[in-house]
Amino acid sequence: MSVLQDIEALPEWGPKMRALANDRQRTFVCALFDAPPHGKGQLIWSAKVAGYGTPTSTNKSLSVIAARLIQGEKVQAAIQEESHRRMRLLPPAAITAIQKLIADPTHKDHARALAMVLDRTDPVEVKHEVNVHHDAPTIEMTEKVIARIEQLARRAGVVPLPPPIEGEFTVVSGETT
Amino acid sequence: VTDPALPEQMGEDDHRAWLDSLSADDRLVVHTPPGYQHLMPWAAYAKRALQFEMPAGSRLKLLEQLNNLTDLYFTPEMLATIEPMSDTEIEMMNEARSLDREEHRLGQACFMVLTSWRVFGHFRRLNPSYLAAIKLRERMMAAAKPRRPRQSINRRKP
Repeated sequence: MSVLQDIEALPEWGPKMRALANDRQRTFVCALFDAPPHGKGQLIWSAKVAGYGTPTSTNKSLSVIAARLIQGEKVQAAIQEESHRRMRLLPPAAITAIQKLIADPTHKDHARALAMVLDRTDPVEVKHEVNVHHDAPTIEMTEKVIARIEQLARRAGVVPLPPPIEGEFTVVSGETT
Repeated sequence: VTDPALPEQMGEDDHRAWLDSLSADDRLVVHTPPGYQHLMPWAAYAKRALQFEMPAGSRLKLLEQLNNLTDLYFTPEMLATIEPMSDTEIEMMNEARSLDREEHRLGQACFMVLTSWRVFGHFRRLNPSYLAAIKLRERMMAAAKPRRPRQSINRRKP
């Protein structure tokens, strides 16, 4: 019995799953997540569930088929996509497990579970106080100091320097010879 | 604070016109690097401090610091030319120093004020030894032998 046949409506595949050659490959990818752990016939079981081989195929031939399938780039991309999708489905199961953990005060990780939940519902506030002092003197301060220096210079009899450019100007006509 | 000696504040044409309007002495001052303009009031300040009583260790330290001001540009002869500061100069110096906080060891704001055209102009008028030191440098430069151009090692003989 195919894994796909277990569900009433076919799922909406992601782009990478849709890019696979056929439903057998898609079933193979899905079966990998339900198969026994790696090293205990995971690939063989998935290939068999997906409908590869014949009733008389040996485990050896099924493992070769599965190994070839899993080397394909499209299959690997589809596995990655399916992993992300299933990861997003995990929280309900995780929450159920945490609820059980919290309900059991004798569990060795009971306190850790409590702390974890409290951290997420009422996070500890960390305040960073950053004081930035801008100490550079302002233009007004500098002008004031220069004015005081000039006052001191005048008192000492120093004639102020002439302005940068001095001269008399007359407007001349645009005609040139 | 606008400074006519800075071309980026005046515009290139105005700055050139301003340079042309300067006297020979003023032009010498304009062409003295600000870092050395800054050294001169400090040397005069230190010389003024040396006129007062102080522990021998402090005096030695101050003399060493004064000696460390000299280099190939600001020569010991130029340092010897500079006269100690007058009371007015001391007051002006303290005003300029008030712009920097104690922790500002670089004294950037004080530097900008002391080396500005207006303020350094007042200092050199109150203490003509600054201009004398700058002129001394010009004379030393003029007296120095011109360097012969270096010949290429790889030049082939005809």
